[in-house]
Amino acid sequence: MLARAVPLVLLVVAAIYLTLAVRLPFGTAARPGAGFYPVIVAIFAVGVALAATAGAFRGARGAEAVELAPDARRRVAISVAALIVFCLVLPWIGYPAAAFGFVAVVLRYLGARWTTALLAGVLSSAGSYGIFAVLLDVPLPRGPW
Amino acid sequence: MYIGNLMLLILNLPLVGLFVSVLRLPQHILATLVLLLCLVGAFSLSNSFLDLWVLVVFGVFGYALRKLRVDPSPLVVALVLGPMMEKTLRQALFLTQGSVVGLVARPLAGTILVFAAAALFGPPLMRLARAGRGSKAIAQGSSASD
Amino acid sequence: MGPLEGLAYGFSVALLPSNLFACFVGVLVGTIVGVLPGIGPVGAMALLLPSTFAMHPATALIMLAGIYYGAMYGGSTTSILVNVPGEAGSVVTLLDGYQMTRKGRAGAALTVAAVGSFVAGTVGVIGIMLAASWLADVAIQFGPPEYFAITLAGLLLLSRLSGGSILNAFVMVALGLALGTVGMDSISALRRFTFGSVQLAQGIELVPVIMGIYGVAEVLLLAEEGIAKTQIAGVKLRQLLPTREEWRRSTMPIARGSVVGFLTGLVPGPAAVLSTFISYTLEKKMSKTPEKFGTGMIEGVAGPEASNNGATAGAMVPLLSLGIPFSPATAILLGALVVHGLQPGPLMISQRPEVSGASSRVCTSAI
Repeated sequence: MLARAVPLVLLVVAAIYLTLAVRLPFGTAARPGAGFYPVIVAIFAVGVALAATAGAFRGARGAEAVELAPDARRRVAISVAALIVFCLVLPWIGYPAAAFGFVAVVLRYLGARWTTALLAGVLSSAGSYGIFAVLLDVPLPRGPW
Repeated sequence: MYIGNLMLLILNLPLVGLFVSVLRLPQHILATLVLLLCLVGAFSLSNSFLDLWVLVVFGVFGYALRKLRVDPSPLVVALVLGPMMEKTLRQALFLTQGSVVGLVARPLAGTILVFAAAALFGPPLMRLARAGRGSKAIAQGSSASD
Repeated sequence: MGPLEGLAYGFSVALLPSNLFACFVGVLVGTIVGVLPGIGPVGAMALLLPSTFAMHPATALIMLAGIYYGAMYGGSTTSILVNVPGEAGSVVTLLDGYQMTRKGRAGAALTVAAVGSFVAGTVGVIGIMLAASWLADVAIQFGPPEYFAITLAGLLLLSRLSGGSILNAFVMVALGLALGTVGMDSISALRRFTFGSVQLAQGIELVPVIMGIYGVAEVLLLAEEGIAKTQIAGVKLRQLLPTREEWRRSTMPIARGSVVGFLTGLVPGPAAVLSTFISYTLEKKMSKTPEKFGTGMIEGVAGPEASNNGATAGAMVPLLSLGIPFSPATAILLGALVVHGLQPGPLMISQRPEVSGASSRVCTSAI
């Protein structure tokens, strides 16, 4: 299923890219505009994406992904969800809280006990904040407090 | 300065041991920490939330590619070389007033391109040719042995 | 002052205790910062640049170069150990380096990377001395069409890096090219594909992409397993060093990598990254077992690690001889020099030999 979905998505992306690219000023061959190169790339992209999708739907050999056990799939899904949530809440609750939450949740769902997860969360959040924000002087979002 | 160099080579041996001992952490803890570090690292590059999203999106995409056993390296090469390719293409076209032939006709540029085309398309073409010759030989061999 | 006297003078400056110390600090800090994923050599150098303003120019250069080298080594450390590229120049290292770690040969990989980089740096110094004046002559012949030909050729050849179907490689290439067009067009200053976002107008940064595609993807794969029964193989002290066999196999890749890297550094563009791809492809072509690349071949670590150091040295040549920085890192070095009142270029070699001599010494002072 994945082997068909990915080329299809890429084809859609390439098509969108093409429609956007032709709207850019093309210029002439002697004075290429901003759209010149993107259009070339877009045509190439649509072409290969089409070929790949066709191949996937015709059942090209060797393209099938190995199926995953349901709890493995759940672990990956949780990890991805945690990543997305982290990016979403970071501006609101600040880095230390977000980091703590991220580590604790992911560890718990990967199979650690609550104590391990929470402890690791605190340590890693504090530690990374110390290294990046304090030592290296990198501005990390601090949140409402 | 070779002294300094040697000093650092010596310094690195215990460092190597230290780094490798980090691996003794349980795999799931190590994995989570690495994820966190990636998130911070990506963000702190240019203090940009966009970089964070890029990290996550391409992380998922890279995972999908790994499951499909597709190698993402050409994407990286293209991302690195693309802008330079575009810039030089436009400058070159400007130079030759739009003539593509003029581009390739220059001795240095033309040679490089021919060489690249040969290196890229040569091996598959040769394989096809050999396969064709092979089947012909089999046909001849079988007809000869009749 | 001829090249040899300059070399000797440079040595005498570089061996000053204060400079040795600066180098040591630079490399140590650089390595630690480089291990953190995402912050690469350029980031490390930029962070510490202000602290070098008070130093003597030669010392400042030495420390900055030390940071650069330390950070590159740190970047390859994370590539090898956890499959996360610390920065762009370490991407190729993870292809085989991480596999070596999974087989328990992490120490060997790290050591070979360090030694290879050291050798390449040495070769690079010799190269710098020889190439500086020669470069100006060749550079004149290269115009936009030649550069275009090189980049196109490079793209076509390097896209065959890891084998696999040509169609898949082309799909990846198309995607990469398209991503590269996002942002502000360099020639006409028009915003492309930015959907009105200010952040997108700056384009898509390379480092998050590679950290995601290689690093996060790998971690997601690990996440499938949860609490794994098997750990990445534990390491005994004796196993930390490469075996004699591994040393033997690494020699030629290191030699080739150094040369390839240096030559790539001379050409404008992202030299370090490109040189690693070129070196990896070269090693694969020269190997008797190309299909084993990607499973932990030490040649795949030795060559690229040597080449990214060679590229750094090579990139110093246009900087010192023509005053043109070809990469962000050398641009920072240029900035440091200018702050100290020096204008790199043909004049610097004759007027301030101790700086140019010492700075080429720097390439060997740091791993």
